[in-house]
Amino acid sequence: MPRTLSCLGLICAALLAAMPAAFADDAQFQLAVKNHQFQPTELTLPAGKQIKLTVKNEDAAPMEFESYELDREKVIVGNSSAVVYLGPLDPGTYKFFDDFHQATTGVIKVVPPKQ
Amino acid sequence: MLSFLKRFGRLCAGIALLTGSLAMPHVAQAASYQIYSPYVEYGENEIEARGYINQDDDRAVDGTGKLKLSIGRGLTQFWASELYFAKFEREASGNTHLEAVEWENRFQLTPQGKYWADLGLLVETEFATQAGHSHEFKVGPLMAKSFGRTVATVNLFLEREFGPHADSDTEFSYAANLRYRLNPHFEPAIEIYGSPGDIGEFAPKGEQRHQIGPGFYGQFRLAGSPGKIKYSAAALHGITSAGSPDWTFVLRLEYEFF
Repeated sequence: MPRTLSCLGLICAALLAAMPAAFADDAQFQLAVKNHQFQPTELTLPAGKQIKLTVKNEDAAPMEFESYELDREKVIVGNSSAVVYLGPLDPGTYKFFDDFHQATTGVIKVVPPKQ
Repeated sequence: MLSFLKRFGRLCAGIALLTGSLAMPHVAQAASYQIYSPYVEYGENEIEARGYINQDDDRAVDGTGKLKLSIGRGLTQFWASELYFAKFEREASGNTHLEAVEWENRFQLTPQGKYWADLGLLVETEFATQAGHSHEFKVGPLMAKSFGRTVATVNLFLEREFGPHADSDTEFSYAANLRYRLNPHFEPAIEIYGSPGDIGEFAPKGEQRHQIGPGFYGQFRLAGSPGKIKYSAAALHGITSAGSPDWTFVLRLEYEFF
């Protein structure tokens, strides 16, 4: 068993070491949920960039940021925030919603970066 | 990150000690025909049934299969635990018996999308329910990488038996798929599973187990229900003559809710 765990440790260490560091120049954006409404309901993001989106849940109830188009699901407990990493994204429109309150919806518009 | 890894290390050590201390008596080593995601959903509950059946010219293999029933929950933002309370094995004769129970733990090690690929870890312990059979410990990394609408997932495992009837070899196995996110109800995939054998003593090529084939994934919501039904299936062709069944048909059903 120790040999098994050693092999596993080596595999994990190699995988972690092989991963480049997170992009230091992540474009940072924020989104809030209050009274079961996204604020803003429409967010414009640059295409082709790594995005660090902080979602702040200002309600007492938990919510789940979910988007099939973005391939993201993230549970955020009440009165707390969580980071959702996105991209690089192609230009287009990506819908998202709160899976726990499905009337709570929003949209991300991804546009080409300004020249 | 360092403090997280320390916490995670202590947690793994605790689980390994606990599962080792619960040792009872050979669970036959076989593929679980499951591609594990590295992601954990905090607070999500799941009820799952999955199974497979083999088709082969060899009468000792034809008709054999397994069915697993489980309940699970995302216990924290990075840890999901699942109990397979019943694992049934179907013999070629058609007889079915309870083979084992299993405790599976998945850990999400990196936030989704933060690095080039996403990394998780599976730690699983299987307890044989039949006298004379050994238990099994399985551990390995879970990796996922998105390329637009395509998601590649790779699992690498080390499996070792324990208990009075265990052998001392450590088996290497892998599972991987490419899944195209066409729409939530139907995502076509190609899946590959296999095991070359024990570490340092791989079997001759023809006796290794390697299977590949098409599959699909999907999900839908039940009207008036708080959760989702998830489903997936695969038809896997054995690409080694002696070590793999000619065909394995896999079906998985899951109900997820908060």
